[in-house]
Amino acid sequence: MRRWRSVIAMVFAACAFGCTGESADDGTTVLRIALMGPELEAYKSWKRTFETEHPNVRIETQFIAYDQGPTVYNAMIEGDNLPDLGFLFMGLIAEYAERNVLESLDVHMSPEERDAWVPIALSAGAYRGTTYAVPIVGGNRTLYVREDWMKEAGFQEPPNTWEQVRDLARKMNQPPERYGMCIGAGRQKHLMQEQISMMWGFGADFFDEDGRLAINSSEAVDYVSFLGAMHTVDHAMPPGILTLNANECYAEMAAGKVGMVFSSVWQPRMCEDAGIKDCIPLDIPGGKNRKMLMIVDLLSIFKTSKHKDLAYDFIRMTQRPENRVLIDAEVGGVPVTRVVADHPHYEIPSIRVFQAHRDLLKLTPKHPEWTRIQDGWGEAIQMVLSGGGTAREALDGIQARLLRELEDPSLP
Amino acid sequence: MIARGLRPILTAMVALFVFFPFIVVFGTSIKTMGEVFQSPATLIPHAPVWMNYVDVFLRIPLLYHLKNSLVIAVATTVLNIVVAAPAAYAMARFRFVGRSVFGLGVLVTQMFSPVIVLIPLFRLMKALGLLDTYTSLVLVDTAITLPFSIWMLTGFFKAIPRELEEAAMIDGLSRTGMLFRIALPLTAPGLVTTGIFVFVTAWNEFIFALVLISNRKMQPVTMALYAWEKNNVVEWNYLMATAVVATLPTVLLFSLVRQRLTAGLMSGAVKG
Amino acid sequence: MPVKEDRLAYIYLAPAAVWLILFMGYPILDVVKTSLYHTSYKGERFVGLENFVHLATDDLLHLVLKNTAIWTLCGVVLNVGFGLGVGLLLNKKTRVNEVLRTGLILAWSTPLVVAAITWKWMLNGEYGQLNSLLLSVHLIEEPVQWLTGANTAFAGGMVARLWTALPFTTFAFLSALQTVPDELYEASVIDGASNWQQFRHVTLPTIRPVTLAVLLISVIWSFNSFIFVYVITGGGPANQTQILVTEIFRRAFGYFNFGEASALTLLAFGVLLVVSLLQWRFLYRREI
Repeated sequence: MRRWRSVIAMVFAACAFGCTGESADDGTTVLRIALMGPELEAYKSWKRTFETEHPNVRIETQFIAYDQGPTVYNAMIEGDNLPDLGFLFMGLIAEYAERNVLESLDVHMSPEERDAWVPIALSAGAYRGTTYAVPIVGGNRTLYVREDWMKEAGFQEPPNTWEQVRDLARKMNQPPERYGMCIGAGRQKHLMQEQISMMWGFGADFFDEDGRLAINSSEAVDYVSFLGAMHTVDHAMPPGILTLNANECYAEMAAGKVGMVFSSVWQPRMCEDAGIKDCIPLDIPGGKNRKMLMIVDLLSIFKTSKHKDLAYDFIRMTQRPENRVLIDAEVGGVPVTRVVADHPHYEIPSIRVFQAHRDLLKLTPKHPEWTRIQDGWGEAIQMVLSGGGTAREALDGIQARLLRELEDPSLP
Repeated sequence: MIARGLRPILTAMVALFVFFPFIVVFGTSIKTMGEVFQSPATLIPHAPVWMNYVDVFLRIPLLYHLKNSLVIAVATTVLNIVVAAPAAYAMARFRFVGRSVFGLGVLVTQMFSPVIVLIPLFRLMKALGLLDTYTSLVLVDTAITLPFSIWMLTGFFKAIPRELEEAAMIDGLSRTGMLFRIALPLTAPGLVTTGIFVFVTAWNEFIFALVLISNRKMQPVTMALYAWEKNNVVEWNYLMATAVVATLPTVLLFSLVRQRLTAGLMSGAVKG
Repeated sequence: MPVKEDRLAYIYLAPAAVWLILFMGYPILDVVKTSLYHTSYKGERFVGLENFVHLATDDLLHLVLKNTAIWTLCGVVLNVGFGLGVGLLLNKKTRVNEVLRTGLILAWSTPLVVAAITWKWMLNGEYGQLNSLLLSVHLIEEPVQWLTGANTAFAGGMVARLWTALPFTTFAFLSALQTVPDELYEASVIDGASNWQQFRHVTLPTIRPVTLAVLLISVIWSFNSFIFVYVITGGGPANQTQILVTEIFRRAFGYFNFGEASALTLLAFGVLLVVSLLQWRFLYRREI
């Protein structure tokens, strides 16, 4: 009998030990921030700066893998334990705004602060006229090419149209040592992000002018056929393309295995670190529509936060140029504030290309069910790349399925 | 029964199938990232990097994960045995109204897939405010393993010779006394075997951990592995080192009770 | 037996019964309720049987069901077939067989997610060890991209699962094989039976009860197997390798469509219930 008692005691002890969460606070305020992706030095700096300026505040960061972001946030929403601040993809803003979990930042933001942001970057965090989040880091996506291989392939000038891009990929292709192009076909989100400018270039888009879902427009079919042919006909992509994600493609270029990737500011540095000096950004090729994708990751305040003003103070702090440059330089971010620090990062060629083409920037559509739409489109492309159907079949199928499944297949 | 000449070849093939993945895990765990991405792949690196095992504890809160797994698995095992043993004893020795219904219920619940109960259990835990706690996993893991341990322990209790109990009854021992003084001590090996099964199942639990615990510091070690895999750039060498660390406890446990285990497996299997 | 005995039995049973009702029984009721609602970011709304109607016309679901049938059938055939084969192989008590049995136990005690991730890496087209092994013995001349095609990726998942499921079936058959009396073999040899005839007429009939039990358990476990498809194929490419349990997970925790996922869960539960009742009929009718 005694043995049982000690056993039961052990069970409760184990539970108690584990089940008690945070320790009681001692007068300090705890600001909880959920961040996606790796633990950056910039975040550590920001934490130090903020805690120094606010002695009674302690910042607790929680890191979530990018892929698990929506799942973790949903669990937190359901479990009523959202943090004060959260890193959000642009694609989540519409959904979380509709679900009423985001605090409107318009009340906290002064006109000067609003003006300090690059308008298109700030608009990434806005939905139906209200600003719910501000940029934490911005990026673009454009084609990067191996200049030496490009010249070898006979292109003295960079390709001007998408047809020429395909031609270049074909000419650079020397399997199995090197392939023309790599895209992140293994992850539907990467697939969408990386070459959406090509989709726009063909005159296709997710929604038509009336805001209705138009994934299977004839332009989209042309585009997906074109992309699919680069793999199934030209064989200009690595054979394992359906298992590669975007980051692996960047690494493939740095490893000297592919000649073109859709990438961003970090690519030349990645290449140089591997001893390749010729990775250069290309201008967006001409087509029916010439647009460059801007990706903005955002920081928002959750409605359930008990420290909203303090949370906005944190946001204010990140807006300062000396803090912005920390994250921009570390991950290859583009300027999202009008005024940037005097730092060599903002002078590198990729940033200068970005600044020169600010008029071409375009964001992905804001729809509460964006994740489904993006995944559906990625699925259609995966189907074509894996030889499971023609572009017309795949896109028609996805369009039909989305029309049935989405709450509202039109842009709000 | 099998042709003489064929036997060694077949045995070799089985051995390859069984042991090859272990070699892959171990070999990859001591590679550098550069060597991981060699094409074609090597099995064992030329210059092993044992530091990976140290790095892995520094890069992720692996000690936390191990602690979490340990707490959850131990709590589940203890709770499970405490709840299952009396029930199994009743099933083995008593005759009462509802016995076959309970037996059917145990059987049917054993057939449930975690995915079937996943959604409602998630909502239940949310309603109870138990998301992101050890308690939720312990409760759920116990529930999942309960049918199996009741099943196994019933078999072990049935194996106790009736004469012992009858003699004790004549001596005036109550039913409860019989459970504690005779049945439990005699089935100690069975309890240990069942306990080990439950421990390993709870240690290896993944799906419920994935859904019920989003706080990285509270996650068990199976989630730590999954976290490596879901990063944009997978560091396979660290992942494999983590895998080795994650598997060691269960492997050690199994080797400690290997004899009892195979005997227990077989008797349980034959009894069906 | 006196009435007091009944009461004591109920007391002993109570915690287990409460536990199972709370954590297994209640979830099923909750699933039934949720399947009658439509859930989205807008909230919940009661829709009756609409979810089921939608699912009946869902093309993707038809593919998922087909995949599930293939996955389950292949899983059973592989696990039971190889389980019997390896059981026969390891029946003698030799040093080598002891080592192999230990290996099998190690494979069984490995966390499933470790096994799944390891096999996924081994199946990698460019850097995986399976290709390098096959290349080195010249079984293939060029690396095979196992994971980019739906069929090969699916098969890869099956092989990975076999690695973890084989130990159980092997040990079940091993124990069963040891119950076959030697006299029967000796008698059959006297009768001039060949090895194959021995197997068919002595071994198989004697181990029939275990074979049946293993078959039925394998069906359940194959059907429910989640992690190998989830980790190795991810249900892809393009959702071509989703099985019922991974599709439920995707709709529930990928898109938070709990309503539809619950309806699918009921479908899965229905199938499993039928199989459980079959098992009850075949195995337990006589015992309890």
